[in-house]
Amino acid sequence: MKICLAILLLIFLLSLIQATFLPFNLMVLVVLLGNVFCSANQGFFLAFLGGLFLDLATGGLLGISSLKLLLISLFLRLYSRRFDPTHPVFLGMMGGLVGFLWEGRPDWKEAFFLGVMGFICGLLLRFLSIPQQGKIKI
Amino acid sequence: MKIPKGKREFKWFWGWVIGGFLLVFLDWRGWLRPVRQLIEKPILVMEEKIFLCRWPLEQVSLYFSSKKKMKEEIEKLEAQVRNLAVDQNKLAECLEENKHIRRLLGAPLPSSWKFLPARVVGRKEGIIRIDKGEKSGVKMGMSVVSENILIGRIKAVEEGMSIVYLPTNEEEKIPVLVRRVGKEGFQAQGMLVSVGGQLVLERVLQTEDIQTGDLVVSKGEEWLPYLLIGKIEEVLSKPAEVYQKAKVKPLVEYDNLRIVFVVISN
Repeated sequence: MKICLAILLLIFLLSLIQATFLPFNLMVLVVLLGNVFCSANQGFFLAFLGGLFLDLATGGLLGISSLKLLLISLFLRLYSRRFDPTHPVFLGMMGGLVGFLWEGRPDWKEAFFLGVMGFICGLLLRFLSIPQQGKIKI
Repeated sequence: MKIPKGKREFKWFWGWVIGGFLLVFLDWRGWLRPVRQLIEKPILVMEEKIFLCRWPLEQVSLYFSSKKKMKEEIEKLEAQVRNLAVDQNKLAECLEENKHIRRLLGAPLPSSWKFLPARVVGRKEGIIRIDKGEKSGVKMGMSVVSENILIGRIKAVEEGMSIVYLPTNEEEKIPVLVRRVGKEGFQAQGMLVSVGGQLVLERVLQTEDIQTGDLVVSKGEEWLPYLLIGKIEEVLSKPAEVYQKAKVKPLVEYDNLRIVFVVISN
């Protein structure tokens, strides 16, 4: 329960920071990593809530960001059935692709940043040998 | 019957997707507006606080990230300032040249004369150097004027430069006429020479009437005619002598000359 609240608070604060001055979409990375660590239901819930907070903070149409993040989570789920989703290259490419297409128009800067961040997170996961999905329950 | 894991996952997925679409629809219709307004108020307050906190962080990151950029920007601006100073100088020169040309156009000179503007680039006792030479069509013996005042004569020509002897040059002797202001015709004639840098009107007959304030103009012969040179400053008359003399003050300060005109065709 405590971890659940902590994660909710984290994504809420992240959405506020992202709406005020953060130039990059870190919510995508949080959702990606959340889906790596958590179960399907929890991952989708995280995606939905993260998108909702993001839309509330930025003043966008409620639900749009949630749908986008749900789609990303689904793709990750499907990928993880056969491959390792914690691979740094996969996370980097996934982050880059989402960053590129998030706004609906090509954004190389965002793609590069999220790609690099995704890659680094993948490396950290490997280095720290953090348990993968389903092994952490919130 | 237990639902397979994969299908359960998709069940949850579609549930959230439907929820998402429902939210989009409700918000798009405006039915969620009251709820949004209620939630957005505290969110805006928090965002404002976070926004204010970011400023010092931004300044620090801006300082480090843009230090190099700022240095480049400063160098670029300094170069621009230098170029602007050069342009401004050129503009000032053009304006001055323009001013002189306008004066020349207003001067009572024959319309058949053609003028070449030239800048004074050097100065010595009785000599000036101008920045026009053979390349621009300047030839030896051409007269140099400023408005309708005689400045001198071309004495040496090079490719891009010429030397002009001023009336104050001791080698020059200019046949002149003396004209009284307000009267027609000429009162006297003589020879204008330079003695120790001072213009002196010589060989004026004692019978001829010259006074302080009379204008001295070129007579012609080897020089262009009726060009003003100076004004009589002081008459040095000695009745025992055949000729009388007078000190002449140039009408233009030769030291202050910047732009002159070479008469290239008359």
